This record gives sequence, structure tokens and C-alpha cells, in this order.
Amino acid sequence: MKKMVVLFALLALSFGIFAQGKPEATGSQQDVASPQIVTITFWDENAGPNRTPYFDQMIAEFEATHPTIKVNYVGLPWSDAKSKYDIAIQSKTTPDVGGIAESWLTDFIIKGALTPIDEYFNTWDRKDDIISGYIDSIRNAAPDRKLYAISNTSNIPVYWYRPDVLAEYGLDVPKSWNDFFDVIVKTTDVANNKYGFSIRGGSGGCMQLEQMLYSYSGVTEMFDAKGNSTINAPKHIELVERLASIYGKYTPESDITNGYKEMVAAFDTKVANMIVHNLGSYGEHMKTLGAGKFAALTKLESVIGNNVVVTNGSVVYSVFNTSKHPKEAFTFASWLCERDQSLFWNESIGQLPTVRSALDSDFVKNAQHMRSAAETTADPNVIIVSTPINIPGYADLLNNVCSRQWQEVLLGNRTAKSFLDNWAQSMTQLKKEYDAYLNKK
Amino acid sequence: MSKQQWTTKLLIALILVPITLFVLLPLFWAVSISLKFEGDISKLPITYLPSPATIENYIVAWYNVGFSHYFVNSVVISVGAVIFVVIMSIMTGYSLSRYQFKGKGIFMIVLLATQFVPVAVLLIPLFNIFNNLNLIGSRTSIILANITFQLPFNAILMRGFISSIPLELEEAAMIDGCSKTESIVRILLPILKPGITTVAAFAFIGCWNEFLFSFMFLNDPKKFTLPIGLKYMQGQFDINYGALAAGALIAMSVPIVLFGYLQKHLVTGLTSGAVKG
Amino acid sequence: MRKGTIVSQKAAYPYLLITPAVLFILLFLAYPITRVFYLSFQHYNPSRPFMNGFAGWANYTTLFQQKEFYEAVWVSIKWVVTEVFLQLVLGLLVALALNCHFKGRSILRTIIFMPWALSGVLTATLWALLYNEHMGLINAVLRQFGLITKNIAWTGNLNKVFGAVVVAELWRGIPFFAISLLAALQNIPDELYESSDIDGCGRFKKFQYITLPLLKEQIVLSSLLRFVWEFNSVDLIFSLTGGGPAGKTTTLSILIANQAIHTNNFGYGSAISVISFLFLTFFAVFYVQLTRFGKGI
Repeated sequence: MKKMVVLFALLALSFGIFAQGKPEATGSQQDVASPQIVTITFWDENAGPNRTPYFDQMIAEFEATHPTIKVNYVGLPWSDAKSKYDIAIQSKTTPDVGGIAESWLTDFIIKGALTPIDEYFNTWDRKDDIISGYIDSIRNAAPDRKLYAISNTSNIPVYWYRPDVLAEYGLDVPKSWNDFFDVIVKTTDVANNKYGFSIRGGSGGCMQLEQMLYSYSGVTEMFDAKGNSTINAPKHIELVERLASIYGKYTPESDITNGYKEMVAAFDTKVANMIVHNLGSYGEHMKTLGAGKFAALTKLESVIGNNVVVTNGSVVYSVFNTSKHPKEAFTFASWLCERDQSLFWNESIGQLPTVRSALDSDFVKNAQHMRSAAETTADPNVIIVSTPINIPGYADLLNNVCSRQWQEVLLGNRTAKSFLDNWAQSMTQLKKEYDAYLNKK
Repeated sequence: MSKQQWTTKLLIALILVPITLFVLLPLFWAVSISLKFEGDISKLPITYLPSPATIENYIVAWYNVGFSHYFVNSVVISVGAVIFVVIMSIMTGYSLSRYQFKGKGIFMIVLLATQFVPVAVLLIPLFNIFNNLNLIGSRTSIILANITFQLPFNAILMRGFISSIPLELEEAAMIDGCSKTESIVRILLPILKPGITTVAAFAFIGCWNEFLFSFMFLNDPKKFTLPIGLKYMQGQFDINYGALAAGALIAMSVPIVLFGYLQKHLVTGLTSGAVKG
Repeated sequence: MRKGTIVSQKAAYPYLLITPAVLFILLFLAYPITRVFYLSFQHYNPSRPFMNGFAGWANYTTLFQQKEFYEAVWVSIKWVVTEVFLQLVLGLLVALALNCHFKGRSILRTIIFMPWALSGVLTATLWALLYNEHMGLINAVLRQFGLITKNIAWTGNLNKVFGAVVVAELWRGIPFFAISLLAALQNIPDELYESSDIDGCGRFKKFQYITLPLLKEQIVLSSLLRFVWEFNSVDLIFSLTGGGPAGKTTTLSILIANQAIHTNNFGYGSAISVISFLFLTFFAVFYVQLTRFGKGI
């Protein structure tokens, strides 16, 4: 009997050796050596061999100019980034500061994971340099209209095309959607494995689809006066049917499983002459096709004659509420949003700076896609609309339910009407439930 | 050679040659890619052998990607869990083998039944439980999960091993003056060594390969195990295939070595342990 | 009383020995399972905490209306039947071949059995390198021999992906059957074969009347175990295709894993888990009956 007790004790003791106990919060630590140095952890939501080196460079510079702050960089692959954040939020192991997609912002705010940075922002000396529209958009994500993030980059949908192909066929750059379809049909040469367009039918495809829908229909509100989603407007159903009808004929069959990687590869290997994405794939095109071989189209006239550009937010930087050093976290986040860093970052990834003073830089003025983006966003006749990223459940719906049904439509297993009606119904329900919650508060 | 012997040899070759090639194919390709320069990997036309060859991918995987951490974490978690699994299997197996007691039948059925639980089902509740214990993100949670998964099967296995060792040996030792525990430790355990090794190896391989829970519960890249490291490398937009292949080969080094040693015992271990049930 | 058991003076002793195991099973298996049942009747979504609360049968009714649920059930059945059948047949052939004596048998055994020790993620990684559309070996070889003119996206093509995943899992699964069937084969006494030789039996007759009947029990047991294992297996499919494309490789277990990891819909995910669990419970009862009547406990 005594030996049993000893055995149990031994078990318990050796357990203690291997057990880790409460994990260190992946937040901050104090260096013992010099107590004034603060280390903060930064999570990059889209790490990879293409982008991480830029962060390495920026962090090195930050540490050199801010000797009391050290930044610990953690890279997450895009495909798992949200789940990782979700788990970290639930287990209270979030970093000090991290990059998050704007479409996750409301989600994280509701979970109580973020720290409002109004105080720090209002006393920041560069705060007026950020274009106010972006700050407003971030405030709109929060039920209490507080500021939970800042941004240094912006993105708009882009119809990437190949000027050399257009020239070859003697076609002009499309101005309207009918032109667009016309170009697709005329530039398809199946025998030589060349298609006019490539649809993003796989992961993330519904994001691009939603952007195309409103650009096509000219509808400018995501919800009508009664709070019903406008996603199943008649012109939207029409566009989905048109896209389904060109799938496989004027677009590659492999489109059905196109995620970001595959769609960009289709364009960059010259299999597809046009794709719909955003400014962010500029780097890929530059690397593979080279300057002058690709160009950006940022607006298409809708069937009712107006111009609608649909954004779904960009990547912003937030301070998490588990941080023991929110001030330093904000220092780093805001530093990333200063003109020089914003320019460096956006030039590297090909997106639009949100800093006013950067808009007259050479990069913005000379790069074709930047000029096009800047012109479009500044054009008073262009209506800029945002997808309902502020409604909790929206991202889930898009990525898990709509994706699947979009594929079914392309395969001919579901009607466009059924797909969009389902989408609209779910969206309306999500909005109703969220509004009820907001009204109760 | 007689005609019968000839046809036998032919049949054997007809079966074994394709299967051997099948087994070796992925390994060959992974080794080939791991030794190619990154730029050569996607260059057309695809070459089967690296020329020139380089070990830079292994260095990148080990130092830059972090396989050195992943390796250590895998070792810590696996060794930690296995120690407990072995000890508890012996205890449980001894009880089941040597004693009759009320509830034994039900307990054995429960042990067997745990093999039927779809592990994915446990993801959400175990996450909640470990979260409430503040263990999410720590390697302890994985060690605990691993013990839970590996224990039932290995307890049954150990029971089989113990059953094949005659009780008379312990009884004789007790007659000679040993206490119960002494007889177990001094007589039974040494004879049980092959069984212990088999169970330890089974459990180790199981823990080394565990993916799902490690993936969900571990957040800090410094705590990742090898399977997670591999999965993460494939989730990025741009994949470094050379380093991925090198990392895969690093990850499989331990199970292969272990398996090579285990192999002889495996067949006999299964015969005496599992089949008898 | 069975030979080789002790009548213990201290009645508590056997119970004490199994206490740690019982604790673990209660805490980390039994309790979580009851929690899953409980959660399946709740709305539980951390992304929309304002909707959390009792759901009644809502999760189940939603579930049974989802096409993707039935598709996952179908894929699960396809997956399990295909895998177990192929692994069994090929594993049996390999075991028979390895049962014969020839030079180099040991080395060949080690090589052929080795994939059994590797993880699902690792297997997926190795095969992903082979299947890769642009730099994979398979496309390279097929093109070289002129069998295809365009690269095939093995894990991206709706028609080919299931087969591709099946083959990858076979790589790991055949060794399992080969090992356990070889063990059983080696238990068959040589005398049986020798006496049939005297009677003039040919090779196939020997197989039919001696080997097969004696192997039957092991075949059934291994198959049933493997059936369960493949039903539950997530790692390989998750790493190779994530369940896609278009749900072509989404089994019930993958569906559950995706719910837990990617969506935040825990209540709904728990409902799927309950269904899965119930299905396997019936299967378990069936299995235990079978084994229990085969041997004494």
C-alpha cells in the first residue's frame, strides 16, 4: 500500500517536470538586463517568402530608431491566420499588436479582444496625415464607434488585363461591362490554351464575386430601406448567370478550384487574359510578367450607366487587450502608418497608401495601377461602396457557405437565383440579429 | 529449380516489386527536391535528379523555418507522454491481467470503445476544458491529450503481454520472501521488457505523429511540433518546396529509425498482444 | 477461477491500479463527450456571442437540411469502403509474398512496412510534392511518356482528387494490413501445409482451404478496426486537400474538424459530432459482440 502511494507521488512529481503550467502570455516581457527595454510581439497575418523580408527590414529600422522597444515578429500563413487569432482570443494569448483584415475587425471587437486607441491616436503627431475616410471606415466597424485600429494601406478591386493581348486583337480597354464580356469572348483561343478570363471559383472567390456584382448592377446599397440584403437583385442574378455561361468555354475549367494562388498563376502564365482581383497581386504580376505586360482597370460602367467600386476593407493594425504595453504597441503600429513606411510597404506590395502626403509621391504618380487607383478613388462620379464587413458572421458566411454554392452554380448544380436568394436570406438574418443586439445595448 | 518454385518466385516478384517501388517513390522524390536549389525546382523541364545538389534547404529548414524548435518540441511532448503511458499501461494491464474484479468486464469494453471515438469530435470540448485550465498554448495540453489517446490501446496491449508471463514466477518470488511490489519490479518487469519496448514505441510514434490537437491548441511557433511545422509551410502563398521537402525528411528521421529497430518486435508484438485481445 | 489470476487479500488493489487510467478517461474522454452532446443543443458561436443560448433541436434541423452533410456522409462511406477493401486485398497479397522465405526478405519487410510509422501530415506532404501540378514527379513522368499533354492538377481537379487522396492513404494503409496479416500467417503451423502437400494439393487449393479459413478471424478483426480508423482519419485529407475541392474529399470527420477550426459555429459542429459518434457507437457494439463471442475476456 505504501508503495502505491510512492508510485503515485513519483507520477505526480515527474508530471511536474514535464508540465508547462500557465503559458507565458505571448504578449510582452521585460528584459532583465536593462529594465527599460520593452519587447512587444507583432503578428503578421500574411507571412511568406514574398512579404516577410519587408517586415524584417522595417522592424530592423524601427528598432534602430526606437532603442527602447524590441519587436518580436510572428508570421502566420494567410490560410490559417483567422483561426489562429480566434483561438488566441479565446485563450487570451493574443499578441501586443497584429495585422488583421478589416473584415475581421467587428468580429474581434465584439469578442472584446481589442483595445481602443483613441487616446493614443488623438495625441499622435501624424494623425492628420491619414486620409479621414479610412479612419471613419474603421470607426464604423465598432458598435461604440471607438477607434480600434489604424491603417497604412488600402486596396480596391482591379481588373487586371494584358495590353499586348488587346493590341493583338485590335481592341480598346473595356469601359463597360458589356465591353468586358466582349473582350473576353474575342480574346479566347482555346486551341492555343488561351482564355479571355479566369474566375476565382475556389477559396475566397465570393469576395471578388460580390465586388463584380455591384459594379455590374450599379446598386449602391448593400441593404435596402427595409434591411433586406440586395445581393439577390435581378441584375446580380443576371451577372452570375452570365459568368456561369462563360465558365469552361471562355475560361479554364480549372477555375472551379481557383484560390488566390491559382487565379494569379493563370494570369501570370498567360493562360487567362484578364482576372478580377485587387492591387495586392501587383507584386506577383511584376515578378512574372514584367513591367508593361500587364495593366490595371479600376472601374467599369454598370448596366445602368453609373460607376460603382466595391471595397471590402484592407489590412489594419490593432492593439490587443492582453497587451501589457499598449503604448509601445501603438508606437509600432502608428510608425508603420507614417509616410515613409507607408510608402515603402505599399511600393513593395503594390497597394495604395492611406497617407495623404504619400499620394503625390513618384510611386503613386508613375506606376500605372497606382495612377488608375488614385484617379478612380478621387473621381467624384465614382461611388465607393463597402461590403457588409461590419456584420458579425459575414466572413463565415462568405467563406464557408457561399463559396460552396458558387461552385455548385458554376458546375450547373444550382441556379443563380437559388444561390443568391440563400445568400440574401442569410445576410438579412445576420443583419437583423446584429441590429437587435445593438439596439439592446 | 522446379517449375513450382519458379512460378512462386515469379508471383512473389510480381507482388513485391511494384509495392516496393510504390513505397519508395515519394521518398525518392522528396530527397531529390530537398537537394535541389530552389530555382531549379520549378524550372522546366523537370529533372529527376538534382544537379547540382545542395544542402542549403536543410539549413534553411532547420534554422530559418524553425525545424530545430519543432524537433525539440516533438521530442519533449512525445517522451513526456510516453513515460506516463508506459507506467499507466503497466498498472492497468497488470490489474486487468492478474485480477478478477467487479466492473472489469465493463472497464475493458470502455477501453475498447474509446478506440471508436472520432477524435475530431473531441476538438471543441477539449479546447474548452484546457482553456478553462489555462493550458491552451502550452505543451502540457498536448501531453495530456496524447496520454488520453494512447493509453487505452496500449493498456490492452500490455495486458496481453503480461498475460503471457506465468503468474507462477511472481508467486515463487513471494514465497521466497519478496513483497508483492518487489516481485513485480524484480521479476515481472525484466521479463516484460519486450512488451514495454513495443508499447513505448507504439505510443511514441503515435505522439510524434499527432497533428489535429497540436494544430489547434498550440499557437506560438516556438512550441510547434513537426507535423504543424509541415502543415504551416504549405499554407503560405509562396511555398519553399526545397525547405518543405527537407523539413519532411527531418521529421521522418525519428520514426524511421525507431521503426527499423521496432520492426522485428512488431510482428511478434502484435501476435501476442493484440490478437489475443 | 482463471488460471494465472490472483485472489487478492486487499480487494482495493486492482482498483487502485486502474485509477489513473480511469481518471484520464473520465476527464478527457467521457466528460468532453457529454459536453459535445450538451453543446449540440446550444447556439454557441464566439463570433456572435449575442446569439448564444439554448437552441433545442435547431442545430440538428439545420444540419439535416444541409446538402453538404449528406455529401459528407456519402464521401465517408466511399472513403472507408474503398480504403479498407484496397488495403485489405493488397495487404494480403504483400503478406503472403513476405511470408515466403527468400534472400533479402528482412530488408524488404522493413521498407514495405515503414510507411505505417509516418504521420498523416507527413504522408500528405510527400504526396503533395508528387502531385504538384507544376513541379510534381507524376506529371513530369506522364508528360515524358506522352501520356498527357497538359499538367493535371491532381489535388485540384474535381474528378481526380478523390483517387489521388485514396492512393496517398493506401501508401500508409497497406503496411498496416500487411503487418497484422503476416503476424497471423506466421501463426499457422507448417505441418498443415506439409500434410496437404502429401495429399497433392496445389498452391491455390492450399490457400483456399488452409490459409483463408485460419486467417478469417484476423481479416475480420483488422478490417473492422481499420474501418473505424479510416472513418475517423483526418490528418492526411486535412493536409492534402483540406476537404476540397467543392467538398469532394470532405468526410464527416473533416466536416467536424473544419467546423471546429475554421468556422466559429461550435454548437452546429457539436451536432455533427453527435451524429458521427452515434454512428460509430452502433458500429462499436457490433464489433464488441463479434470479438466477445470469439474469445473469453
